Amino acid sequence: MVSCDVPMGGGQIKLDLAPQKTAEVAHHSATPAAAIVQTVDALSPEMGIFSEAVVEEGLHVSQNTILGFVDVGPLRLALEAPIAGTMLLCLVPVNSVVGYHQPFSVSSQTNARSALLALQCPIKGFYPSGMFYHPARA
Amino acid sequence: MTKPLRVLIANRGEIALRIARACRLMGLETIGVYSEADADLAHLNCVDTKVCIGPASAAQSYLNQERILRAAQLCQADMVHPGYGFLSENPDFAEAVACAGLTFIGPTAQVMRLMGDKISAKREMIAAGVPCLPGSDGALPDTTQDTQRICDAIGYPLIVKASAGGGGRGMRIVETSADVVGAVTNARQESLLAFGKNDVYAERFLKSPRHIEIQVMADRHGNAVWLGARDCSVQRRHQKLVEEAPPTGIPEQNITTLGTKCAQACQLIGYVGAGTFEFLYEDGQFYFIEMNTRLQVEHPVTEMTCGIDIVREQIAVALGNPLSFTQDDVQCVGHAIECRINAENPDTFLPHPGKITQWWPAGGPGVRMDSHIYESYVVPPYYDSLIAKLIVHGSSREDAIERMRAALDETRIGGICTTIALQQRVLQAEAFLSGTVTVHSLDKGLMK
Repeated sequence: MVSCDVPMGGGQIKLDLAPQKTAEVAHHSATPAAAIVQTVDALSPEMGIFSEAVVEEGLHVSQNTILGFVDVGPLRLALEAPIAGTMLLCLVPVNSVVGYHQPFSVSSQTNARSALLALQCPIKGFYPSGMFYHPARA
Repeated sequence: MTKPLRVLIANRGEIALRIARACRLMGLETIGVYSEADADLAHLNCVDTKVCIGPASAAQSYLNQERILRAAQLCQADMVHPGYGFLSENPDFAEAVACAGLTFIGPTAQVMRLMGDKISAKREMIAAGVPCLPGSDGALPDTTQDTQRICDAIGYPLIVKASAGGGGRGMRIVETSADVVGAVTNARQESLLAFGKNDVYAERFLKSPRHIEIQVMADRHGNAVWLGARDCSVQRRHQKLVEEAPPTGIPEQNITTLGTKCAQACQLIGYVGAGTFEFLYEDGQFYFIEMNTRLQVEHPVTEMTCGIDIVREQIAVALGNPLSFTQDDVQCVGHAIECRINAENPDTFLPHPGKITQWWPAGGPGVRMDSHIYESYVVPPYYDSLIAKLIVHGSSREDAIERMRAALDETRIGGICTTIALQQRVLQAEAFLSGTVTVHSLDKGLMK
């Protein structure tokens, strides 16, 4: 806690400044070696049939790697990894119907730095699933 | 054992839940479609299959024919129920559903087109002996002189309307002969912009009419019946807020004569399914306005008085079954009132989307609540603001009014503004109690 005195009218007031959240982020950033796991849902780009899974579970992928395909009539749309990480689990069986922006797979297992970056700058169309924890405490 | 038929519900909110319940009752499987903003809709817990069809925007989800049809094909639907609003009165959609080999729960595209154009609809109604307002026989001509002559013959005040119109667009009231040319020109331009057609017609303008409508049902075997009348005169900017059945103060015989003509008109035009003939009523005369070729929001007041499940019957008819009752079986008993509860400011009528923090629906004998909301549900800003329909049934109009007052008092919806306060005022207003409300009463502030 930091305190400071501020002149006000004839007197002064004392402000107690609470630590800001950025300080916490800085703390995590300062310990990049400690792995923080974040799961991120890759969302189907369209309503269609999930026709093919390209990446097997457990495989590490870089950002924008094609994870699978969704068929919309004669079109075949690629489903890309939102961020670099490890493909954890495919949520949808092959040849089943997927809805628009339906979560398709849980794809990323990242280190602390990239996880924080992903939270701060989410890629359009992909949303963190809310699971964000430190493995040491988990 | 045959596989149950699958019905895709191409709608959202309370009507989607209403349809899902009817399907379950009939042993049909259901497919719920929803937009990205609607993943928490109540009916999605009652359907057998659900699929997100697109973004929140209605244009990219509930109004998008291609996406609805793609969902139907992916989920192997057999039938499509359009509900009301959205694509329910779109003949191109009905046609596309049929072309995809599916059954559209409603009339054919051909009949929808016929009744969707106000000029052709009026022509058909005149042929069927249904009373219409005196007006131009078809679209007004392009020449100014002929238009002036026709309007002078109708008399003033008159109203110029777009043949493809709706929602007050392409509409002008003309008080004197001198205003005809300007009003017609403006109505044509507005119609062209709004509907892509500049055909307009003219008819006598009624200053203080009531809105009376007849519910009909028809099957593919040539049977057509009417299920009673409703009074929907309590309106705000052409949007109904309180509906009741039967209308008060109109001789029963007059309504029977009108209802019989509506049923005959259904047979004449080859109508199939549920539909509503809408009329203006003034000085003891009915005048046809339009036909809604779909289920109405206010259908429950008819269900409560005649005891017929209209949605279930609608689906049965679409399956090819004959109507399960005849005209002689239809007996309307007691009185029913419906309040449309909207997520709106009750004074300014501005939409008020947001999170429902408290939900206590009214209950008890003769009380029905058709709603999709629940505590913690978030009313999205993208769609119509209707969140619940509170319906009561009593032995008489007075009894129904008492029940509605009690039910409105009991209902608690926290976190958002609703129209309940306005409806409580309407239920106390002298004009409502005496049955003299016109379609303009609320807008003119006569029920404050």
